[in-house]
Amino acid sequence: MSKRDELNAARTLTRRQFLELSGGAAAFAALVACTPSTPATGTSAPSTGTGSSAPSAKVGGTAIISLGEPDTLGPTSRALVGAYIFSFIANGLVRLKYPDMTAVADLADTFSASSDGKVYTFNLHPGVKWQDGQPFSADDVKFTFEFATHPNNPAPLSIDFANIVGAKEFKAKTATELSGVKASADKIEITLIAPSPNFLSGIATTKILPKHVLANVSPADIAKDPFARKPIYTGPFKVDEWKAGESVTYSAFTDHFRGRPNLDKIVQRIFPDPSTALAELRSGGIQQSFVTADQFAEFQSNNAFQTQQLAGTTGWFLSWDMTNKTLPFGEKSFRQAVSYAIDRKTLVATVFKGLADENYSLASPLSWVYNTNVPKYAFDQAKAKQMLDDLGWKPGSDGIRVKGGQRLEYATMVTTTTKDWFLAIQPMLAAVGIGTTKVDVVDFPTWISRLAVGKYESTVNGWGNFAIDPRADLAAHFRSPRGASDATGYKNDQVDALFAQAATAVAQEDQKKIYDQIQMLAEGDAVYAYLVRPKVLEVNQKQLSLPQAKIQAEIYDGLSKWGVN
Amino acid sequence: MIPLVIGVSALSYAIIVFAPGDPATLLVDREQMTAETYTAMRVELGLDDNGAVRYLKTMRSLFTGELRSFRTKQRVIDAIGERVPTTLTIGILSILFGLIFGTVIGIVQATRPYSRLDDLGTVVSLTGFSIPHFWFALMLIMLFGVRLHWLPVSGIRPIGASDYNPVAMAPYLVMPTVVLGTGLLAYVARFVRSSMLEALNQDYIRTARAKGLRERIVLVRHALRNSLLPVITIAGFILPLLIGGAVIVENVFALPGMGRLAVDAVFARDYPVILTVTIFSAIAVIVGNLISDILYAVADPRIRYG
Repeated sequence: MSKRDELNAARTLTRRQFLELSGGAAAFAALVACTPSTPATGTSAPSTGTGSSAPSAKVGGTAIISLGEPDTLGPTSRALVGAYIFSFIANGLVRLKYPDMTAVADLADTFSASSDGKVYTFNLHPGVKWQDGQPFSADDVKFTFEFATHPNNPAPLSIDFANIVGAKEFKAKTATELSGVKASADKIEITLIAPSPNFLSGIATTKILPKHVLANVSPADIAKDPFARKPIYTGPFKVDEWKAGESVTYSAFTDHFRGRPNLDKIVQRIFPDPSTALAELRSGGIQQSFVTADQFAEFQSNNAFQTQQLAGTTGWFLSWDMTNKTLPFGEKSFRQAVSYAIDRKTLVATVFKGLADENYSLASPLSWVYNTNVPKYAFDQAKAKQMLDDLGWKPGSDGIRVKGGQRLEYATMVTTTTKDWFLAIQPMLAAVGIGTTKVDVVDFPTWISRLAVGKYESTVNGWGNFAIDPRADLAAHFRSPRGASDATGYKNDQVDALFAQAATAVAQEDQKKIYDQIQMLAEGDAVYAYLVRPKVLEVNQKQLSLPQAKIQAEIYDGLSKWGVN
Repeated sequence: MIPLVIGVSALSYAIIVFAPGDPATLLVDREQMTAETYTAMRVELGLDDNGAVRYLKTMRSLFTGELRSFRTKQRVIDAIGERVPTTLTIGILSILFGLIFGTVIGIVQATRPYSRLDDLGTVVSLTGFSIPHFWFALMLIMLFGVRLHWLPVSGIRPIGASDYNPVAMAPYLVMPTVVLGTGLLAYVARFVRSSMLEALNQDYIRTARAKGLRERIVLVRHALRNSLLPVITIAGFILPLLIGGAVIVENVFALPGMGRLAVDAVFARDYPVILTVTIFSAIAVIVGNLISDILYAVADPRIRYG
């Protein structure tokens, strides 16, 4: 079951405001100096921190946590868990602030765009060091951008990189450098071809690479290089050892530019089976993990543990292949009727033990693009029946609706995770005359390869919200054409026109207005019948103190603020 | 043996490739997948070549040692090399566990046929046969790991250790060994019991007893020796049994072994890893059978090959 959950749970990049924490770390620098496990990379007193000290967390100690195994720790990582790990071992020029997903300072203390929106200037934090003690410089940034756009890099240019002046030429080998990125002593200047409102959030996931380590490694070979298993970045924790299938160990980088983290060490244990992780959590073998709704109460009532209920990262919904000609999936009022038929309150109470929120939108209510006015088709069985009647689907002898000899009956593709949820949904649909007893249980790889128009009828679908820019979330579902795979066949010309308009509006308030309209139209079309957002349930031993978080990504993003009491 | 390996590799490759699922869709986070990335991914993984070409290319790079995992880009040989010690350790320990305790139980049963003790032995071995590995493992974890705190719940060695230190590792190996070895124990006990019973009815046993030899010597020197012969045939199917069990045991106890590697690879549709692990297991089984044949000939001079 957990494969999918883990995947969805594990996205997002970046780190929290280190500014808040830097002061505290400096105040404790004296303690650090005598800690034996202080890494060998030089002096331990960070000079960058000023301001008030952090409250209770002490410096030192080890935290043992449970987290999935990354594919690689180099820049080619595509595993979602990699993003969590990068948020505490590496830095970008900017990073995304959770949970609203706006770009804030990281290696760049301040940044600004020119009035035409084409030139971005980043003022780099002074005195930053790599985890091997070497000084960081603007050249590393330029190197990283050239690495990403390098002709030998097998990855295609992302939209944001392709928009940098000279990137296409550099990729096509007609230029020897990436002319749009200019590095001076403590400044980076990036020139774009066209103003782009998404540029900052687009580069937030680009972690800056050490030129002195990777200068002679071809971007095509980076995943094979030792760097991929023991990288060097600028983040507050550095990778000590990765034992495949077993654990990854990190130690504090005491020279981190925003001050050292509280903990000395993090041990990330890798559990293929969630029940083992649960047993370890109970026995004290690990100190922090995430649990399911039916396990949560046990820890809530146990004094040895502390718990946090985090907002659901993944929103779940029913989706249909709207290109189906025999079934009414293409009819807006059919989809609305299904939405009205779903009793989300009961779902939350029974299947999720109250530990979920009702879901009515693709965008997370926590993100800045979310439109609070989106139409909500909340539970109303009578209305659902009425709408199906109006469509000409009349109840047959066994209650299943019929129209022109065609029964309103179809197959639903589920995974082992969503199967149990769907069992609770079936009677809700049957109550309004929709027959969904045919259920295909498939594994995740099969599910995702069949999630395309023409290959399925209906499915329980989920989307993780904090992986990418929230605007891209909307585009991935509502803009046409849809890119890699299209699960619905949804197309609304008005929506498409608005997306085109959004691409040129730079000011955030203009963006917000356009995306508000997009949501009103697309959610009004009831592309999906939304279900729930299961909460993410965090558990840790009391002796460990974690910062309060709203979403799971913040837990890892704020790892440098963890402490042992 | 070589044709067998070619057959196994071709067949498993076909099964892997025809299984539903597209590796390219699994390597990139679905939320971040674009049409360009998907296309580039298919090209990078060579998924657009036809099946036969892909098979030959894969086998060629397998033999040059350059075959790499889709997911981690690590050399498959290296990935397996990292995992073999764990699987081997658990495997050898559980074979020893199964053989020693299975033989003892079998002897005890055969010497007191149809007694209470014999019945108990039968119950133990039938339970051993039928008990699902994952359930047994979880029950042991619950009792000895969570309730009693006698043994660590999972892992192969203490946190922070990276070497293979037998003393430090011992507590971590107890539960996996017992779980993996119990099925084998049941087989061995049944085999030893029946062949020992048969041997005890032979004329030479009566002769030995008539000579006035002590019962212990009759049992161990005369009966046991001859009745162990059929047990050697077990060696042929121990390996498939262990490989199958290792997949479960390594997953439940979070051990970094080959079974784990195989399961992870299947879920990621990591074709090179699945293929290599399958070929490895096939070779192991073939070699196991060969060894069992040889042992059989060595143990019983009446058997001559060729």
